[in-house]
Amino acid sequence: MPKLKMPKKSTSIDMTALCDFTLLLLTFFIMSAKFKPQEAVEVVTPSSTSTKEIPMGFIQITVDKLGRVFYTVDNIKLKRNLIEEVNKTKNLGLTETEKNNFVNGPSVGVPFTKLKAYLALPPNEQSRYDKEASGVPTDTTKSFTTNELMYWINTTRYQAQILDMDQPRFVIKVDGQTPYVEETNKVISTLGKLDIYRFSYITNQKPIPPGTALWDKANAAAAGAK
Amino acid sequence: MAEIESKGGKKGTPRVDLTPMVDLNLLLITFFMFTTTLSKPTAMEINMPFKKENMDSQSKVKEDAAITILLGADRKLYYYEGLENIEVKQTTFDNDGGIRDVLIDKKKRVRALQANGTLNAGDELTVLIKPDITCTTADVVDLIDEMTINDIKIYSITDITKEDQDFIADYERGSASRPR
Repeated sequence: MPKLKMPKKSTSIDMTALCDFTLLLLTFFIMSAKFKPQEAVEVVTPSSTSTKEIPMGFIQITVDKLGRVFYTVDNIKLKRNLIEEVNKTKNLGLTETEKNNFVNGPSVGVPFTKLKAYLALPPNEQSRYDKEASGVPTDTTKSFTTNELMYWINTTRYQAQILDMDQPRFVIKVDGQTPYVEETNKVISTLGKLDIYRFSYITNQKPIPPGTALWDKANAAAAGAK
Repeated sequence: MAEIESKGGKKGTPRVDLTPMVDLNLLLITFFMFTTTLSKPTAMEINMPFKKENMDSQSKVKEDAAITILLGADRKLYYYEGLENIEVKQTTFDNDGGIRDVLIDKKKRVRALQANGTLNAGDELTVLIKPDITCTTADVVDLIDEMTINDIKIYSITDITKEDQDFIADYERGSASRPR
């Protein structure tokens, strides 16, 4: 019997391949990463089968579970004009710093009476304040004094016109649990009062149920593309 | 043999231990996976009916082509057809035997009526959506989405009337006493 020779092997594995692979994955995630935008309040949106992307340069009206309304404008230039105008017409007496805070901040969810105090806060305290903020006062009336959301929207549209921009599109980001008639409807009727009948809800995508008219349509479109 | 190996080992490039690097990479991957929003939010477009005075849009709707859906509490739906001689029924958002089947059935019947000439070709199925005070926004969005799913072009969201609220109340009272 020849003696069996067991080759001495080292237990360490070659890590190069694994390292290559993880780096590849890492690159993919870094490239595709789009960080969650800073949100004033947490909102769980309902689902729909829509595949449309959210229009660019939109103005977002957020309604949380309790019906608090937050107003968000994306365009920096428009925001600058907006706060100047609001400051002037509402006699808020904002300082330059407070105006800059508005322009660089994410959204507003306070009544005009508290706006100066809110904008004077540093950003991290603003987001803490948002958790207990009362939201922009909104109702179903056409009064600019009680329906402050209407004032914001109207001023924004007016300033967009002055800046020679396209009329802004509106999207509503509303929590699925928000009562419709009591809360969501306030925002929708405010938009309606300003003759805005077309807007979008932000939703999560859900699959199209098979066997329906939309399913047939989507399949026909896919077959046509081929 | 062993001698050659050890010689080669000394001459070749020194090996770096890559384990910590892999660890770090995996950690970073985990971080990016959690911070990335995978499901992109989408926008569901909606057109609200124009609210103008002296405009009675309902009068244009042919009775046979209309269906009214009331949104109640706990994701319950109540519906009735036509505008007179109303019989209220209740349904759900279920995929089978829910509102979708009701709409598909109604659509078929409207098409049949168009074929035999009772309805004109222009009298398309019209859905009136009336959210009651107890329903949530998710209910409304789901029902509008149901219109897209079933390819219903004409629908409108209007305020609920006192009569409609009574229908729901009557139905609930009736179903409590009705034998199952």
